[in-house]
Amino acid sequence: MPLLDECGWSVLRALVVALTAGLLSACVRELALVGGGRSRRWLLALLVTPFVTPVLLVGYAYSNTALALVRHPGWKELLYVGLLTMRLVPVCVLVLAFAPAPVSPEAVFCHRLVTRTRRGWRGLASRLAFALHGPARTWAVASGLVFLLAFSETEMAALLYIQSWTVSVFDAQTGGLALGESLRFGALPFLIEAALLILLMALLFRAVSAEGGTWVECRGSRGKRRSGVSHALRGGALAYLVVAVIVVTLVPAGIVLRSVGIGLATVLRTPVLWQDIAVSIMVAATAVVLALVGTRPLLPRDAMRLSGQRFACLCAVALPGLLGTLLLGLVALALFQCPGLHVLSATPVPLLLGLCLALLPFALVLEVLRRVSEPAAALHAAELLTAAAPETVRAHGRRLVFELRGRAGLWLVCFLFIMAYFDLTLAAMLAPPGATCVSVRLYNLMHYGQTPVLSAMVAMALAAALATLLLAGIVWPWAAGWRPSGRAAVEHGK
Amino acid sequence: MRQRPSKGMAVVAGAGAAFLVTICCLLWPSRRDALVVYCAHDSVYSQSVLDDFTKRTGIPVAVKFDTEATKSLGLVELLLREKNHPHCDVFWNNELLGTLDLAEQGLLEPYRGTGFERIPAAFKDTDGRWVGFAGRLRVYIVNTTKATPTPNAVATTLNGDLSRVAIAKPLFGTTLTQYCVLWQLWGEEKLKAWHRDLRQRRICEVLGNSTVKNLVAEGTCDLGFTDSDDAFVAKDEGKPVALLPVRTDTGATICIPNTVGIIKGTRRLDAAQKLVDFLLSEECELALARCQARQVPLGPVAPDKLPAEVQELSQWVASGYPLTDLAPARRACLAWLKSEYVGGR
Repeated sequence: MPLLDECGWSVLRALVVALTAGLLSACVRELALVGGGRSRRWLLALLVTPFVTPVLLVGYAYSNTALALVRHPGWKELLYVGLLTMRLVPVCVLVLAFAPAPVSPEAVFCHRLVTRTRRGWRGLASRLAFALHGPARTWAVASGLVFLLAFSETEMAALLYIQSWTVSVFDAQTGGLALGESLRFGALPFLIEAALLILLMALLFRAVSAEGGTWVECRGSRGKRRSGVSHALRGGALAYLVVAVIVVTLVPAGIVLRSVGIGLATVLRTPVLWQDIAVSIMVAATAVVLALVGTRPLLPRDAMRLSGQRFACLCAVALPGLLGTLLLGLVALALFQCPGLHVLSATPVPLLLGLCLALLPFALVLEVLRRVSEPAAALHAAELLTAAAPETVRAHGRRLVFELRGRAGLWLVCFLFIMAYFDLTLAAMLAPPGATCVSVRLYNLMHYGQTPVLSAMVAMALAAALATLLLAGIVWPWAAGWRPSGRAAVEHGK
Repeated sequence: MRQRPSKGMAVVAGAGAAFLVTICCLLWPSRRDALVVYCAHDSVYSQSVLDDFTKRTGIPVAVKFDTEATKSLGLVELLLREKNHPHCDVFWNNELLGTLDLAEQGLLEPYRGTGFERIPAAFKDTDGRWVGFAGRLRVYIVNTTKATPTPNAVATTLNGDLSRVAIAKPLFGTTLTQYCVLWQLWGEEKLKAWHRDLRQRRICEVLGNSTVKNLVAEGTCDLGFTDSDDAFVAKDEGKPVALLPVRTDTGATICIPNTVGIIKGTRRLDAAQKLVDFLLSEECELALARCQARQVPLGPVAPDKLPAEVQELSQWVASGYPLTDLAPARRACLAWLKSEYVGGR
C-alpha cells in the first residue's frame, strides 16, 4: 500500500479509536473518578493498568493471533483497533477529568435547570449550543489527544502486521531510505498532527485564559461525590475495566509467563541480555530525571493558575513529544548529522534528548495533575509539623508530606520510567554503537515468533524494570525526607 | 517553607541528571578504544562471534545492530551519511549488495590479509575492499502438511492462486537480492510484470523473511520465499516444514554471503584488520555453520566438520548465481521499489 493510502487509512483508524475511546471514557470516568477511598484507588489502578502495560508485551502476546488472521485483514484490523482503544481509554478519561473546564459545574447545573422545561428541537438546539461551548470542548480535547496517540503508534502495529504510515516510514528509514526522503514522507503526517495539535492547544488555551477557567473538575474530584449514573451503566463500566485489564495486561502476561520456566535457564546464561537491560535502565533513568528537571522551571508555583503566556510556552515544549517518537526520531537524526553536532551522534546524547522530549508532555501533564490534586491545606499543616521541635512530631510530619505529595511523585516517576525503558522507536533510531536497548533486542527477536527463550527474556526485562521501580520506591521516601525509622519513632511515640 | 523540600529535590535531581549524562558519555564504549562494528547479521548469532574475538585478542568491540525486519540497508544508509566523519571501523553486512554500493562510493579500505587469501575469488573484491563469508540461500519454505515439497509441486502452486503463498516486502534483505537478480536476468519490464502478477494473484506480502517463516510454519500459508537460516529456525522448533532452493530460469541458486569491509578513515586499522581476518577464518565459518542459522562456509572446510544440513546446502551453493556485478541492477531496482512502496502513486 503506498504511503499516501496508508496515511489515509491511519487517519481513519485513529478516528475510530478516538471516537470509541471518547464514548467509553464518558461512562468509565464516572465510575473511576467519582467517590473516594480505597475502592476509588482500586478503580483508578484498573483504569490505568492497560496504558502502563508495555506495548511490546501486548504486541508480542497477540502476534500469533495476528499472524493467524493475516489473510483476514478486517479481523486483524479489529484486533488492533480494540487493543489500541483499550490502551488509550485511560488517557481520555484522565483528560476528561482533569483538563481545565471552559465552564464551571455550577454553570452546567444552572443550564440544566434552565433547559429542563424546554422540549423538542428548541431544547435540543439549546443543549447542543451549550455543549459546544462547554463539555464538548473538553471531550474534543481528550479525543483529539487519543487520535494523536493512535495515529503515531508504531510498535504494536509492527508486531501485529498492521498497515500503518508509522510502520512504513520506520521500516523505510531503518531500511535504508535517505534521511531527507524519510523526512519528506513524514511531512504529510506531520501536517495532520500539527494541525490537530494547534486546534487542541487553541481549545485548551481558551479554557485556560478565560476568566475563571481553572481546574474545576480536579478540585471537585478530590471530595466524595455521588455519581449521577445508573447502576447498569456503572456495572457496564466496571465490566469494561475488568475486560480491558484482562485483555491488555493479564492475557499477555499469562502468555509470557507460561513458558518462562522452559527458557529461563538459557536466558540466565545470556550475558548480553543483562547488558542490554543495564543500558536501558541507565538511559531510561537519565531521561526521566532530565524530563523532570525540565518540567520544573516551566510550571508556575500554583499550577491551577496558568497564564496564557506560560501555557503557550508549555505547549511549545510539549509539541515535539506530542508529534510521536517516529517524527521526533527522524528530526533528531537529521539534527545530529549537522556540522558541529555530528560528534555527538555516536554518544547517548541524541537518544537521551529524544527520550526527554518524548517524555516531556507526559511529565508536564502529570506534574500539573499531581500539583492540582495536592490537598493544599493538609500539606501545609504537615509541613508545619516537619518544623516542630519534637523529633517524633517532625517524623510524623515528614511521613504525612510523603503520603500527600511524595507518593504521587513516585508514581509519576514510575510511569515515565516504564515509557522510556520500553521505548522502541527512538532506541532503534538513535542509540549509539555499543548500546543495544533491551526493547530493540526483544523487538528484533519477536519477528521470529513466540518461543520459550524469548518469553523468558521478555519476563526478565519486565522483572528488571519492576525491580528498578521497587528500588526507587524504597529510596524515594529517604530522598523525600521521610525516614522509615522516623515512622517507627512515631509509632513508638503513640 | 513549603517549597524548600522540592527545591532540594530539584537540585539533587539536576545533579543526578548531569552526573548520569556525564557517565553515559565518558564511559560509552565507542568513546574508549573499542572497535566500532556495524553489524547487520542477527545479533543472536553474531554477538557470540564478536565476544569470542574480544576474548582472543583483548580488543573490545562496540556493536551497532540493525532491526530484524530491515537488515543491512539501514546501516548502509547510516554509513553513507557518516561518510565524512565515520564512527564505524568495520562493517559486517549480512548480504552483498549494500557492501557493493559502499565500495563503489569509496567508503571501504582495501585489505588483503590471511582471510582474504582463504576465500574463493567468486566471493571477494579483487582489490580487497570487501570479502564474503558464511553464505545463506534463498529458499522456498514448504509446510509439509499442506503441500508437497518437490520442485514440481512448488511450480504448480506458484502458477495458481497465491493467497496461501507468502513473501517479504522486496525493499530489504534477501528478497531484494532476489529481485535484483531477476532484474538483471529478465530486465525491468518483465520483473515489473511478474511483480504485478504476484500481487494480482493475492500473494501474502509481509514485513520480513522471519514472518514468512512463521506463516508457513503455523500453516497459515502453504509456501513462502525465505532464507535458509529462517527455515532452519522453524525446523529446529519441530515445525512441519521443508526447504527447497529458489532457482532462476537458468537453474542457478541464489547464495547470499555475509560480507565484511573496513571503513575508510578508521583510526583503529590494526584492530579492524584483526577482526576481518578473524571473521574470514575457518574457525569462524565453522562456528556460523554449526549455529542455528547453518550458514554455509565459502572458504575451504573439511566436509566432515559440517552438519549434514550444511553439507546439502554446500552443494546448492556451488551452482550459485554470481552476484558481484549486481550493483547497477540493485540501484535501479531499489529506486523502483522505493517509489512503489514508499513514494506513493
